[in-house]
Amino acid sequence: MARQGPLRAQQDAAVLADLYEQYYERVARYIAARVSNRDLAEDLAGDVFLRCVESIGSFEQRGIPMQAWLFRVAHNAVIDHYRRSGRRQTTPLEEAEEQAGRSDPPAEVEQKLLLDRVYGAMQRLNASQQQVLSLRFIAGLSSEETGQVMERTNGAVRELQRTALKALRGLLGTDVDRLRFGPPESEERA
Amino acid sequence: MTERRAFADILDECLERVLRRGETADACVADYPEHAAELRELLATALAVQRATAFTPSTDAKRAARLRLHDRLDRLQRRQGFGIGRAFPALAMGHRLAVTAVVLVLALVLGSTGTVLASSDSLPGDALYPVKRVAERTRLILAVTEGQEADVHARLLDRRTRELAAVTTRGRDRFVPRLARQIEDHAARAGALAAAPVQRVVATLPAAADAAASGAGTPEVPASGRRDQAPRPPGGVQVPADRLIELNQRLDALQSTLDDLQSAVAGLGSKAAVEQLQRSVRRNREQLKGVLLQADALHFAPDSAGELQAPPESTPAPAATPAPTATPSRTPSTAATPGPAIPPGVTPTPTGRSPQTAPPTGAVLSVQSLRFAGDETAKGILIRPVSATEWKAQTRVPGLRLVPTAGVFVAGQAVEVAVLLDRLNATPGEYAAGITITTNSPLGPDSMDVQVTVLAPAAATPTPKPAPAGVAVSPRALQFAMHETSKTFTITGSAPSGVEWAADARPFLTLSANKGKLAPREQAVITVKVDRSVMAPGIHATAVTVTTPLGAVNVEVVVLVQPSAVPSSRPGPQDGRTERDGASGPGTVAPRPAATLKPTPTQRDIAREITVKGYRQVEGRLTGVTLVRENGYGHVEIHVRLQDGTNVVTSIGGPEGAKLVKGDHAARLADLGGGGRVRLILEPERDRVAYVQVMDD
Repeated sequence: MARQGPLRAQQDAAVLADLYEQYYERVARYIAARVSNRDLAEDLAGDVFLRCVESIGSFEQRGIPMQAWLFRVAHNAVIDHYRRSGRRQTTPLEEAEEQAGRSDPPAEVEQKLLLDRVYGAMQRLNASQQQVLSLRFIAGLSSEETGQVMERTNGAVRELQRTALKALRGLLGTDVDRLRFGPPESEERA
Repeated sequence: MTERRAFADILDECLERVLRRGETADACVADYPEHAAELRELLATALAVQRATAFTPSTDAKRAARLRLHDRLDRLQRRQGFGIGRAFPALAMGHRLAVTAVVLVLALVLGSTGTVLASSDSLPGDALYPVKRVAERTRLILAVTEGQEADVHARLLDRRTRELAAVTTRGRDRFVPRLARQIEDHAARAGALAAAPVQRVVATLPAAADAAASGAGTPEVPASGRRDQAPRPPGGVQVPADRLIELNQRLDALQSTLDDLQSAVAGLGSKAAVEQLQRSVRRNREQLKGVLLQADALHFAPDSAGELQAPPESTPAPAATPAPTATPSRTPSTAATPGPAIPPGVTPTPTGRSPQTAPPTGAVLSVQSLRFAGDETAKGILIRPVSATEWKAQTRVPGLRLVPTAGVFVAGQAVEVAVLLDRLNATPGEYAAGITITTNSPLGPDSMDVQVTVLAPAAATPTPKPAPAGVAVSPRALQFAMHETSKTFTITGSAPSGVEWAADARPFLTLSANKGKLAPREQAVITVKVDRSVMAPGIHATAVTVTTPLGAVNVEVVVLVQPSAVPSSRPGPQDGRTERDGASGPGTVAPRPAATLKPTPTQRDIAREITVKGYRQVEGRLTGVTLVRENGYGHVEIHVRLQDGTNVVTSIGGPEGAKLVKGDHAARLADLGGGGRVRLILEPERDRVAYVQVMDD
């Protein structure tokens, strides 16, 4: 089929290497939002690209944009991880404690805990709502690109995004408004 | 429905503008006043989602993943015996070479080598543009070193900039946003890669780094003044800043291109992309300027590396902070007061640097100089974090040992470093930068020097060689680092007719035997256990004395007690809310009242607040730490059991911090294993621990 031939295979290698350079961070961020453990997210993000190597054939058969395919692979990696680990509750990060003692400890810890709550509330949304928020705001895809990953129309994604944000807002209440959005620190444009 | 759909579209537009283009929420809300309240709420929620999940994977993880990927690609190609490998075995050596072959093959397939060359002028939307991109990827993959990679990104930055200008003149506006993103990406990568070597040099030169850090914070500092004051030393520091300077010129060119483009682009999306890129380039140049100022400071700072070769008698560096606008000098010369001599068995009292003289940096030290009198062998330095999360310590003084030499700051707590002098290997003298403590901080590495003075032993002081007591001890010194509790030493009989011995030690040390008799060359192994529960935090220097009828010999003992490792069995303030620790200066970490060190008032307040917000508290007596282990992802899992049978699992982690955090938390919880109380704060409706608080009993 289309994948025959050395030329094609070598091109795949170049394309995957490029895909990695462009998307590793976003994939890691996307996964981190779903598994809550940053080291694990970094590992799984690495695995995603290995999976891509194995399954580049399926990408070509599906005829979807590469980015959409990559995030579908990432999505599957997360699901597989949970299946393997049996959703064991290990609690992540005592960062709240580690953060204490900095410039304004109570405020910083409060911020951290608020963010933890946001994260926690996200987990209570339904699967598609979680996915749309992760793809839009964490992986930084446009609504059109999100639609390609989720196999939905652009309009459907926008509507889903609205309901997801609304549901999240309902879970969090006005707590969210106490979050400070200072100047961007380490985080890059999503 | 239509209205709702319309709102979904408006929301989407605002999300794009706020999250991806960096506009303020107010700007977008102002355009849709009829939806103001709802838009504001949902935008805040979306920002919260972005913020709650924001993180940048570590460079190490990224590089490791890249290696794994390339390794897999290599193996796959070898396994499948791709055509190229068979046809040109020499090219099958690695995929990098193989990818080079792609370009060759592409060229052949497409007709002539001229095709690749021809493609180099192609633009997005041209048939040959993909060929050009493949060739570029090849170059990136072939870039082995950081420097090469930086150069490739810099060249691609130029190329994309030219393309950006070209597509707009040809009416291919739709490619502008994509090109703008690529340019931004190349600029960021080139910047990071070019800055890295400079920052590494900064990190290795403590004094210059100090000067540089203060210079970087004040970009308007007249560099020429610094040059006059301190010309570049002959054979001085080589700063690899050329690449940075070149990149700066490139960004300069890019800025003017963007200025020209602003009026040329027509589409709304293109305009926004150009504006976003302009902002990003401005940011990028600011950062570059900061690093260049560091490089500049290094070029013209006195050669601080010279200190390494300075004789011990040298006085403190006279002009280590040449920057005229530099914050008050942080070298020992400004406030060098000899550290208080610490008699054995007495914990050191940190003097603390006053907030007025200490610029807000990575951390502050309890002392700026240490002085070892003739009979002293142990001192301590307290490092109190300000903005730093990690620290390391080095010494250049012969015979001096630091325990530990690196670590992470946990919960903003000060860390104590034991400074131990081995008199046998010591050379008396004055060492201007005898100990260097380096911490990380948002500004970059921050180094502080501690002056060390080693005085010669008084003539009367016996050398630490074994006294003719009829026994010899080995080793002659025991040092208990943070969580060590048990060590052994050996007593060997040397008196021809045998000798009786008795050992004596301070109450916090338990000896497995305290008397006996030894024939010549017979040995007794004595285990020394330390009971930290009766010790105040700090450094305790004492000795086990082995006495015989013929004389006495000492085994020197140094015990380090961390504030956090103190068990809570000691009485403390009932509510722990005395305003004492958090807000006050570095000198207030008084090592004496052990139990009052925790929980800090801060922790208390947070706990109360959390409860109000619906966090569930579990409070109980700890009956055991059932497991402490690495969970395979670089995190440490701690399983604890409470009296009511509740089992709680918590994990602490981060690959670098894990080891040290593990020690600290394990000790803290393990000390409570016998019945201390903990408060675990759980998230609403989940068994996820948000916070562990160790409480006073």
